Amino acid sequence: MKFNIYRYNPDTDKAPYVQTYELKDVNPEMMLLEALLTIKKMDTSLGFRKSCREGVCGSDGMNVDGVNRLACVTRLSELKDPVEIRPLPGLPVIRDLIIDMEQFYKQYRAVKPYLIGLEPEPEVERLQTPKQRELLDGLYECILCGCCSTSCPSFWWNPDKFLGPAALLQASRFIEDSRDAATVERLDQLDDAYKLYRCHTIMNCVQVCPKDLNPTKAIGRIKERMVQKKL
Amino acid sequence: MSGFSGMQAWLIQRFTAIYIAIVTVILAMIIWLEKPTNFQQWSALFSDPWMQTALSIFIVTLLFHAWIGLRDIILDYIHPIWIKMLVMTGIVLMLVASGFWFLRALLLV
Ligand code: SF4
Ligand code: SF4
Ligand code: FES
Repeated sequence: MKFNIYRYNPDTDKAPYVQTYELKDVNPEMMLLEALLTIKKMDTSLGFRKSCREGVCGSDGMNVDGVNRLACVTRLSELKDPVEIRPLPGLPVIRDLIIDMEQFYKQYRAVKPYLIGLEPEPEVERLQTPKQRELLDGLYECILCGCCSTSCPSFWWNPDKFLGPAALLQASRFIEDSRDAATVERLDQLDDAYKLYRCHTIMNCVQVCPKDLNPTKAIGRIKERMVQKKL
Repeated sequence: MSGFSGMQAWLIQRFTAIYIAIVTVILAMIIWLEKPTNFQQWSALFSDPWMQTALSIFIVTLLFHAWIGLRDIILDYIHPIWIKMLVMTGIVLMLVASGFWFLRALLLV
């Protein structure tokens, strides 16, 4: 099986190029990440991120045959031969498949992804009913792999002003949380021309999320909450 | 700078779309039923006070709808602030001018 992989080392290369590697007799049930690790044994200069190998840490997002996905949960049998591998699009490349995610994290931090609680602290835990807890399903599971935001055209055009699907999913997660006391401030903060409303419901984010989350739906829910708040 | 908050623009876009869709369908039906063929018939059709009211509202909603759509494209693709301002001002002037042109045409029938 052939792998056409994007290579770029800004220190030594004038321009990015594609290098082809071939693996003989691959097991089609093998995950793409294992194939990349095998290639890395042949060519140690190849750079990519990985950690958990099981779709939990979110570090090995990459663009495979034009689709953003996690290499560790992508079976070779799902892919055509040769496989085209690129870094996640829209963010600066540090080296090969390693991208600089700072812009992505900045937008994540901008939504204050933590509970802002009412003071004073209660004696016991802040309790939730099962119904209140249910509202967080489909929101809290995000592993911040960046597959969604880097597939979103609105994020490509305005990565500094539009928060992107991953950060907006987190915004929704804290807006929906019954224990959070800053719902109104959160909604007000999102109500400008860029942060949320650059989303045009293109739904690339939904298509690629390896955790099957639905940022578009979360964005719709935030819009609903904004309207409810106004009324 | 863009005139509305994110939510206002989004809501206006949706409500104007509904009005535009309804009036367009009704207008098409009226024209199809009346089948005006000469100037007198057309002008009789459009001088009806109900028609004039509906169309005056229609043009205002249409212009707002157009403004929000064009504003979206500008916000997405034009980044240098002064080019953005220039293009936005040009578009607003154009939209306002076409609004007056339409209203004048409506009053003169
Ligand atoms: S929403 Fe899905 S695709 Fe986006 S960062 Fe979270 S896990 Fe990754
Ligand atoms: S639905 Fe919105 S956030 Fe998701 S890809 Fe489209 S524009 Fe981006
Ligand atoms: S290596 Fe952790 S998600 Fe793929």
